[in-house]
Amino acid sequence: MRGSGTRIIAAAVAGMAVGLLVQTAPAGMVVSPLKQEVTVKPGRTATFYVSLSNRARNPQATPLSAHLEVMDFAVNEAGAVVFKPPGTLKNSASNWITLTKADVTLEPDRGEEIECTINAPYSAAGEYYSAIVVTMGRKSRTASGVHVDFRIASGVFVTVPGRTFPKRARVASCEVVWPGQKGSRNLFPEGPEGCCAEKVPGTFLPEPLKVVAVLQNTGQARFEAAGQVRISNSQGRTVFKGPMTTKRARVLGGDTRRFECVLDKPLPPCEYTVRVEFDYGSQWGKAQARLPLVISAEQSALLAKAAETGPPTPGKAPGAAIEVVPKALAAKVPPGGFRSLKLTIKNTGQETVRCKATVVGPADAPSPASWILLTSDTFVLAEARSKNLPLVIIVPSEAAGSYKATLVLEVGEVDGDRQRIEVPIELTVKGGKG
Amino acid sequence: MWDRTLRVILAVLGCVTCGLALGATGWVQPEYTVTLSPAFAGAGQTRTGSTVLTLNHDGPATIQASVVQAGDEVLSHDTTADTLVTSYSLTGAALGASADADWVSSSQFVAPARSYTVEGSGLSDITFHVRGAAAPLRANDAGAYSASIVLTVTW
Repeated sequence: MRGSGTRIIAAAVAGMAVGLLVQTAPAGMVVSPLKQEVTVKPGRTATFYVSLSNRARNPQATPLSAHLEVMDFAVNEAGAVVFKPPGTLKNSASNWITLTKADVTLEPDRGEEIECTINAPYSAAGEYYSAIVVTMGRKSRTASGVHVDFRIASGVFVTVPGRTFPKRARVASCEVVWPGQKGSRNLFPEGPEGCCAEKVPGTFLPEPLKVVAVLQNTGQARFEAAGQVRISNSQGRTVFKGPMTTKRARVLGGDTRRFECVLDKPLPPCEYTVRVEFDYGSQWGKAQARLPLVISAEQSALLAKAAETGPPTPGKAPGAAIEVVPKALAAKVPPGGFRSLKLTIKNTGQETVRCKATVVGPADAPSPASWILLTSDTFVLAEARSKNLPLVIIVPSEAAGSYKATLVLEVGEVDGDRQRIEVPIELTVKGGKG
Repeated sequence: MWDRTLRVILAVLGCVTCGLALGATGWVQPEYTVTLSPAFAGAGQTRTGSTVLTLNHDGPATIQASVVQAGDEVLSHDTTADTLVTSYSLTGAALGASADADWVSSSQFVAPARSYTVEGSGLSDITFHVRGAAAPLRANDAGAYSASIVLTVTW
């Protein structure tokens, strides 16, 4: 009874959704999910799914094909995924996984769930990893130019219960990296053509001063890590505090991961102590490190100059400990369609702040501000808290072309001065179905 | 059965609210070719090309470049196998701080350590740039040059 009722609800919802999707969904092949957790008991079999769908709906759309394969993966210190042949890595689950299909061809507006079966050995208690790599239909190399093929990797994080693996971590290294010092990210690589003055159109970001720490997972259990750095002066007063960021916060057993924090505040010449602390979800404690930092008059001047003349971090108001991700919002929406976007606002400071969000349009051009709805425009953020701010965009059916607006976030400590963060919004109203 | 039905409902609701299935990620185009125009005609020339790739995603993702066979990333003459000094870059607001600020050599572009973080959700435009340059002190063969890159999206 419950099954049939649910099927009716699902069919009704699907029917409504298909009507809306005709207007909103873009073309192309999509894969879902991008990662998933799978638990399988030792000696037992479990099933999971990877879904593919061809979103094209226009009459001229052609079928899309894709090839699926199971691969091992490792994550390097920089947080990049490195794919390896199946069964070649220590914590591989690839040889336990079978796919019901390796090649799929989907007509426009069609989808398919690929069933994946995992069979864990009896003595396999622990954590294992694989990826289902979906390669979109590939044509031969073209006569001239660069041919770009696409793959989408769906991560499979397998847990075989039976033993408890405590989370363990340590800070393997921690240093303050001055611009030009070994270990700093080279934004202008000196390759064979690195000397060329021509720049790619984009934003110029000078290399900043950073605190760099490498966190090592010394256990066998994976964890998500979050870190912060505090710099205190010789009197023990905290003069700088900021989050440590990384490209991939999930650290697998045995892996190391590089975290960074940009030091964007001028500090007078003095002896300091840098404390780095990582929360990795362990009930027993946090991974910590501290190191002395002596800032000379010359280095202090360099810091002051960088803080004074360097471009402000996109999406971050000078002086306010607020981080906004992403730094810009962009969407393509068909006329009469709608789109949902999300902005994450994080208070990385030590004070509770009050935020007010508004959307404003340009004075000298057609403004899309009235199409953009904020579900919450005034809110309070306590220290270390973040908030997702959804924006719903409903485009009139007569709209066409490019439109620009700005999300203005006024941030201030309660009873304090307000500061302003601007997040550009770019809307392209184009196309129709498919 | 109940779980699977629920997943269908959630996926469909996800489509309604975001224009995208829950956890769904995909390139809007199945493949792309960046052309270098006009074609190479002799020594001392540099050509650039770019195209906008659109990624449909409902959360943060990572992009990495790779090749099927070593050397695929280098622009090579179709008949003589002569090569050009090849550089790439990815730019776009969605890449945030991971966007390239300058050309990246072809070997660095496909190096395993290199990755780009795509922030936010929805449709993100990412511009793929390529540059081919004649080697210093040597005349390259005239004609068409081609290369091949695989862009992989990961979680």
